Amino acid sequence: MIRQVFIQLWNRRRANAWVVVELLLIFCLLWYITDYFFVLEYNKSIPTCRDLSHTWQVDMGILPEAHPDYQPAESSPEAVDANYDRILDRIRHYEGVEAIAVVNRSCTPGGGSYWGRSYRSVKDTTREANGQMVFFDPRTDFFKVFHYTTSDGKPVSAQDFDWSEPKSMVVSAWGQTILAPDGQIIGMEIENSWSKDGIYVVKGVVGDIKRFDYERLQIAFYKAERANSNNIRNMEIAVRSRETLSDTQFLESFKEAMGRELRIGNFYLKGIQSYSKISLDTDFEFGMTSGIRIRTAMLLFFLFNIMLCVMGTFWYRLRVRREEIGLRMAMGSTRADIRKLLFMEGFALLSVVVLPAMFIEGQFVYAGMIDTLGDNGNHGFVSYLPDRTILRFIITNCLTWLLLGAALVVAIWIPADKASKMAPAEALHYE
Amino acid sequence: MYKQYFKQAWNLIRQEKLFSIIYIIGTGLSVSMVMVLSIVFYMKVANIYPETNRDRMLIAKSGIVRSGDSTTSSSLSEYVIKTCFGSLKGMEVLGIMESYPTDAEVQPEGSPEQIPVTARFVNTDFWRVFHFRFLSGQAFTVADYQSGLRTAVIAGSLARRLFGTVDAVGRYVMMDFVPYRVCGVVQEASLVTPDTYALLYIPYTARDDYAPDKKNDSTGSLGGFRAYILAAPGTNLDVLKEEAENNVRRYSQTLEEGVEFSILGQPDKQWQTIFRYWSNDVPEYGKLLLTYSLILLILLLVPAVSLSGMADSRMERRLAEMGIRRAFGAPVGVLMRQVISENFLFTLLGGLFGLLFSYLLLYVTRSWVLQIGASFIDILPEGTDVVFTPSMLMNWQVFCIALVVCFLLNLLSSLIPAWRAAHRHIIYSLNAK
Repeated sequence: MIRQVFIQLWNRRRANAWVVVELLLIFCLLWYITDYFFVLEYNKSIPTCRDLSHTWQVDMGILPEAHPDYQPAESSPEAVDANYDRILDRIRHYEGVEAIAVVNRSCTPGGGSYWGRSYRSVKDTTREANGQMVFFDPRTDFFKVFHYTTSDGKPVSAQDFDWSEPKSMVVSAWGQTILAPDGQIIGMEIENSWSKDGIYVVKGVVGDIKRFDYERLQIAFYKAERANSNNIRNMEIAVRSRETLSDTQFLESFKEAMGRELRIGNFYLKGIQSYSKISLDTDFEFGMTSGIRIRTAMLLFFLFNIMLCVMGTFWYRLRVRREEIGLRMAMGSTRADIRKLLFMEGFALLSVVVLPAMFIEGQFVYAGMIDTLGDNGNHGFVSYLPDRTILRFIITNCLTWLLLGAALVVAIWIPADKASKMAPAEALHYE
Repeated sequence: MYKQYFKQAWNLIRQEKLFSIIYIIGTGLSVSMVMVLSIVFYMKVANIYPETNRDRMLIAKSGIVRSGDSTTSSSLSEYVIKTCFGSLKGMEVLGIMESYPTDAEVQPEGSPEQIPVTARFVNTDFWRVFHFRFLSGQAFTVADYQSGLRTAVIAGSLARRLFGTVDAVGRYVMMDFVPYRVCGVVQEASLVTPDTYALLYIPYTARDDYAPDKKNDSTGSLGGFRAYILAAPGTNLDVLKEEAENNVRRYSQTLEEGVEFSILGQPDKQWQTIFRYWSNDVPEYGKLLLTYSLILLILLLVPAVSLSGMADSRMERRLAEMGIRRAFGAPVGVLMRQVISENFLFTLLGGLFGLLFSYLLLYVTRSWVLQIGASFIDILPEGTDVVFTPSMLMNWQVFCIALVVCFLLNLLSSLIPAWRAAHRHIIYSLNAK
C-alpha cells in the first residue's frame, strides 16, 4: 500500500511539489523554533536550590527634608540604626511573616542587577571560580527566606554558618567542585582573582541556584554585609510569608497593618511586591517574555500556513479524484480505509522532506548559528542534554515531526472526512 | 478588460467558498504579520504628536571618551552638547533633555495617596523642537530656566486628577514632597513616543545638584543628557550632520593629548536612532537591514508557497478554459495578466482582512510590540497604557505599504501558477476536463 501511495504522489508530482516545498520550508523554520523551546523547557526543568514563591520585597522610603513630617533629629546615624532595627523587629513579629532578611539591592533574587566576582584558591591559584556575589545581613536569615537547600535537598539557615569573621564566605556547590575537588572546602582560604581585597575563609556550602528560571545553574558566593546608616539605602528587606496565607491575603493585610506600624522616624513603608513578580518583570525587561511570545506567534503562523496549504491542496485533489475514490469504495474500501489512504499520503509527503530538512538544519548547526539559551560556557560540572548536539538535533527533529504530523492530521481531516462520506454511487457517477 | 477579470474572480469566490476563504485567510495572515512590523516601524519614524518634527531632527544620545587603554561611554554633558551643536548653521533650535526619565511620586493636596509619575528634565528649546498642544498656560520661560525655578509643565491627565481641571496655571504640584509651580498644561504625549512621554516636564536647572559644568569624566564631555537638533526648514540633514560631526572632531582635538572624544557616527536621523541602544557601540545597519529583510521575506515566502500551491490547483481545473482562449488566439502574456489580475482580487480581500487583523494584533500586544528588537524592554509606568490614535493606524502611508505588500504577495504567489497554466500545450489544455 505504501508503494502505491508513493506511486500516486509521484504521478501527481506537479501539485505535490508545492506541498513538499512548503513542508520543507516550514520544517526547517519550525525546527529552529522547536529547538529554542526545547532548550527553554529543559532549563526550566533543572532543579534549583532556592524558592521564590511566597517571598516579598519590602521597600522602605525615607522622607526628604522638604517633607512637613521630616524630623532632623531622627537622621543621626544612631537614630537611623535604631529605627531600622525597630522596623526589622516589627516585620519579624508580624504574624504572617515566617522569616526576614536584609539583602543588598545589587543581588535582588530574580532582579536584573548582577554583581559578578571571581575567586581562586590561595594555595592553588589555578583553581578559579566565577559567579554571582550575594551580600546579606547575617543577623537575618537570607537562606531561610528563600528556602535555600543543600544540593541533596536539606534546608539551610544562615545560622548554620559562622559569620563572626568579616571575611567569612559561603559558596555554592559548583564553586566547591572547582575550588576543592576533594570536597574539603570548609576553612579553605580564597582570594579575589581580579583585585586584592584580602583573604576570605569558606565557612560553608549551599546548593546552586539559577539566576533566572530559564537559565542553568551557576556559582554564587554569599558574604555578610551588616546594614547600618551608611548603607541602608542600598539594602532591601526580604520576607517570607507563611504558606497557610494566600499571597493576596498577606499582601492586603501587611499593607494595611504595617503601613502605620512602619512609620518610624523618617522611614515609611513605600511598597511591597513579590519576588515572583520582580522575576516576571525582569523576564519582560530582558526581552524573554516578548521573545517567547514572538516565537509562539511565528510557530502558530507556520503551522497555520502548512495547514492551509495542505487543506487547500487536498481539497482540490479530492475533487479531481472522485472517480478513484468511487472505484475504491465500489471495490470494498471502507470509509476508514479512504481516510487512512489520505493520511498516509500526507505522512508520505512529510517523510520525503525529513532528510533534506535535516540536511539544511545541519548546515545551520555546523555554521554555529544555533544558540543555546542559558549556556554560560561553564561545561564539565554537570552534563546538560542541550550540549550533546547530535542527541539534541535528533530530539528536536522528532518533536518538529510530531508537531507537523499533528498539523497534517488536522488539515487532512476535513477533506478526508468529506471524501470518505461520499456515496459510492455518487462518486462513481463522475467516472 | 480588468472589470471582466474581476467579475470572473468574484464568481470564482462565490463558487468555491471554502477554498476562497482558506486562500483569503492565508493571505490575510501573511499581510497582518508584515503590517504589524511595518506599522511599528512607521510609528517609530513618522511625525507623530508631539514628535512632529522627526523628519528634520538629528539626535545625539551618547559619547565615548578614549584615554590610553581606558574607555568611558555614557550620555552627553550639557557642556559638550552646547559646545559642539550650539552654533550649527542651518539649525533652528537645540533641544536638550536628560537621557532617562525620572520615576517619582506626586502627593495630591490633602490626600495620603502617592501617584507614581514619570518626569522629564528638559531645556526651554525642548518646547520648540517638540510641538506640544498647550491646554492652558505656556512652557516655562528662559528666565525660569536660567534661574532654575521650580516650575513644571504638566500633562492634562495629571492636571485633571490633581485639580479637577486643566486650568491649573499658578497652582502647585508636590513631587517627592517638593513643590513645583505649574506654568502650563499640555495634551499628554502617548507611550508610542516614549522619548518624550512624561506627566511632568521640569527645567533641569531646577535640580538641586545641577551645575552647568558638571563632569562625569575627566574631560567633562559625558553626562546625563541627549541632544535634539532641529534643522531649519529646507536644510539638508546630511550637511547639518556633517557639520555637527566636524564640530565634534574639532572639540576632540582641543582635549589633552592622548584623549579622544567621539559620538560614534551620531547625530542620528530618526530611523537610525531607534536602533542605537548602547553608548559604546555603533549599530550595524547592514546586519539589521539583512535581518529585517530576512524576516519579511520569510513572512511573505512561507504563505506565498502555500498560496501558489492552491492557485496552481485552481488553474488545473481551469485548463480547459485556458486552452479554448489560447485556441482562439489569446497570447500567453494576456492569459498571465488575467490570472495575476484575478488573483489580485483574492489578495486584496486578504489584504483588507490582514490589515484589520494587524490592528487587532497591535492592540493586544500594545504593551511591548513597539519595543520589538530592543535589547531591553521598558515596563510601562504604573497605571498607564499605550494608546494608538486612529491617525497612527489609518493613514495613506500605512495603506500604501499594505497595498505594496499585497502586490508583492500576489506576484510571489501567482506568477509561477500563471506561467505554468499559460504555457501548457494547447492540445493538453483543451483535453483537460
